[in-house]
Amino acid sequence: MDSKFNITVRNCDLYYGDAHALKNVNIDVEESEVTALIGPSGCGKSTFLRMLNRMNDLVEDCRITGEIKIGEQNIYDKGTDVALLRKNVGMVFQKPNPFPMSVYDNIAFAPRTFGVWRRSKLDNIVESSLRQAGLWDEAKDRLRKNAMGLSGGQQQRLCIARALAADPKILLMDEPTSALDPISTGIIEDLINELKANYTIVIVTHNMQQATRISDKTAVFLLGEIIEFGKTESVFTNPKDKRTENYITGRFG
Amino acid sequence: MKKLFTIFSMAAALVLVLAAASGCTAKFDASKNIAVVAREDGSGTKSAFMELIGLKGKADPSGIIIQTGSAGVLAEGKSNPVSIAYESLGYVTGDVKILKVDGVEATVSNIKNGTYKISRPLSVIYKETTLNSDINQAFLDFLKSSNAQTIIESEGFVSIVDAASAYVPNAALSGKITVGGSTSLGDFLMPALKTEFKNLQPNIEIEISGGGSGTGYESAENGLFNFGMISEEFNVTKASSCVAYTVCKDGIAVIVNKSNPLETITISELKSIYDKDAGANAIKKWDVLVK
Amino acid sequence: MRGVFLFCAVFSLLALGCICVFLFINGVPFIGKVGLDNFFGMQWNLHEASYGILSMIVASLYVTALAMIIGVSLGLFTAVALYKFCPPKMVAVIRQLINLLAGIPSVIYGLFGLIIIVPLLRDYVSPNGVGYGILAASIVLSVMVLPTLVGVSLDALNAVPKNYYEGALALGATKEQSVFRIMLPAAKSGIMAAVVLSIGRAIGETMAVIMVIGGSPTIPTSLFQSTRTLTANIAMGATELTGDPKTALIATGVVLFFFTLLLNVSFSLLKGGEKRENKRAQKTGS
Repeated sequence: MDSKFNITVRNCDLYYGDAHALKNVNIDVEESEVTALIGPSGCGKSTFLRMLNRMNDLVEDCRITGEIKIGEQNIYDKGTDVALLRKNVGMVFQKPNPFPMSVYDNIAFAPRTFGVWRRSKLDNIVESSLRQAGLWDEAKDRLRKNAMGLSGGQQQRLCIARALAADPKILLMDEPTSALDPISTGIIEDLINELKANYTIVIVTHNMQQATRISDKTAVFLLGEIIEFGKTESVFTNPKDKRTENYITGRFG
Repeated sequence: MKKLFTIFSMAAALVLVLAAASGCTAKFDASKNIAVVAREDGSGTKSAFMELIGLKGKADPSGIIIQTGSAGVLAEGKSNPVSIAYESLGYVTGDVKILKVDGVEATVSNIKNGTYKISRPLSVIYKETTLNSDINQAFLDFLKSSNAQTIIESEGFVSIVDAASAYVPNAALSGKITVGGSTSLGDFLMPALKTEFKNLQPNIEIEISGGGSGTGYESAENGLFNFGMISEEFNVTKASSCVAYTVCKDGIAVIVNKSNPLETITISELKSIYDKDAGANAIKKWDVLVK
Repeated sequence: MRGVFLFCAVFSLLALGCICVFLFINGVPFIGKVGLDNFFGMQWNLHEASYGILSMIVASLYVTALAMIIGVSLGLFTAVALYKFCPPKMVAVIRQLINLLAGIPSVIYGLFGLIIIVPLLRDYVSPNGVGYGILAASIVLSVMVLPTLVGVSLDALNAVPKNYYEGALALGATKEQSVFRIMLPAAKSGIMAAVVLSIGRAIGETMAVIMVIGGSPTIPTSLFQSTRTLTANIAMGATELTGDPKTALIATGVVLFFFTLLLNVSFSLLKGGEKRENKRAQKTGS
């Protein structure tokens, strides 16, 4: 696998059957940065995100044209190892979805999938992932208990830890805090700030303030197109596109 | 996963082809064990056979294959090359081979003259009081008539009434007669007799049911049937208030698969096969009989 | 109108009550009369008044266990295949075909066993030239329970939230890994239900078993040996035997009844245990 993990998207279109969901998308995501994707509902943000780890393959009748590269590799090439791609490009979903097993087994799932079975090694991975996700102190005494017993915020952090246990280079987050209370949201936002030193993060968010709080770059989606992309500060204080300004000031959305 | 699926379905197809093939190419092998087939307990054919070969009241040897009903026995004989079985002579079809017993062929005349040893009476049993009803008496008269003897012989059974006279119908008679029990009587012979009787007495209904000789005894005794059918020597202890009339005699044929080269078998050999206590004398493999 | 509903409800209870009373009033005193060593002994010989059903209990358990091993392996893999490894259009068709299996009468299964399975085993598989026995019966039974196993397991799998599957895939697991390590275990209780239902069917099946099991009341020491199950024993003698032997059959029915009861009780315990575990899991934690 290449040593660079920046994302390059050129002239990309996506069709669900006859519906043209993404139109001529071009974007560059740099390593070790947080890139936020904002825009009104149904504009293709999640669709775009799912393209990056080929989760769209699960949808029937989904066609993609254009070039999507991670490093130097076009991830839609015929010979791509999709499982390896998803290992390197982790995903955290909007609604926390821990597996109905113990906390330990949730986190150990990914390393076990990749052949790590030695107890001591797994213990290390579990502890380090939980620490990175800021959940170690709360979870260390209940590792063997069922993950479904955790609170919503804790479950989401568990999902983040679980994704981190796979040792990804890129983290995709699809509105990770929209289902959580403000305190948990704050905890996770702090987390993202710490994680970006080691990971490239792309986050879809409905919350514009969140975008300003945590992201370095922001892309604005509207009706399947990226209408604006640039440094977060300038997108919000000095938008180039009139539509961006209307969205930000709340005229629609 | 797809590979597994293809391999599996091909294996299944192969199995089915083999199965179909094995049905057609049954081969006899003298080195194999004899597959001993018997009827179920409660079958009159069974108790008659066991008694006639000298194993009265004995249980089956271990490993016996039990078939309920003559159809099952014949099917087994037809498809299993190493089987041996017994069945009422009247039911044996050309699909199996009938052995001679002590050198005597199983024919109607040999049964009648007593040289074929394995035969038993097929009888109807009834309470004396049953004959108080005219229609029941009429049926019994019919069974003794020459009309009935003709049917008996055409069905492959042995008529024991010599100089029978023709049945005299009585148009005034009407009603229903219930007859039930042994399948040896009830499967083919009794229905043929019923049809002939209906021609002579259109207003008398005969209802035939099965259940085996055991049912024949029980239901004649408790009055459920007017006539019970049994396929062994009448054992009065099983139905203490009944008497029996022997309708005909029936040979019990010893049958083997058509590919079996054996032609004749002795009664003592049969005993050694069907005796669970035969011990050192037990005959287990075909090569003892087939040289 | 209410009276009609009440009557219908009571009717089923009445039927159950009648069956129980009939079984116990006739069967239990008989067991007392012949004694426990006779009734649970190894010898079933009517001519010597031996009514030992132990060999038949063993045969019933043996046949059911083997049928479940074959059936569950076959059924689970089929369900998994239909769940994620088959084109959706095929799934509906195959499911319908498998359901057809459920509608086939037992006696036809018996014929299938008799005409195809027994000669096949006899000529190509059996080391001693006998096709009847435990293996033949288990094969036939496993096909009979397949519709239940596949149908209920597939429903259980489909009921597992799809986001577990997505979550597993997103972590880099392959389809197979996701299904076998996450979805199947999550569907565990539904699959257990399918298994228990099938055990009930297997242990109670009579017609098909009678035709391929052989019928000799001896304890089975081989997969290819004529033997007899509890249900076969009852059916073989029910219409032909009288007196004590017949009552012995009723007593056999009592034993079968207890097996079924045991099965249902263990199933409820299993389900209850799962429910308690889930409740606990939801309550604990901060």
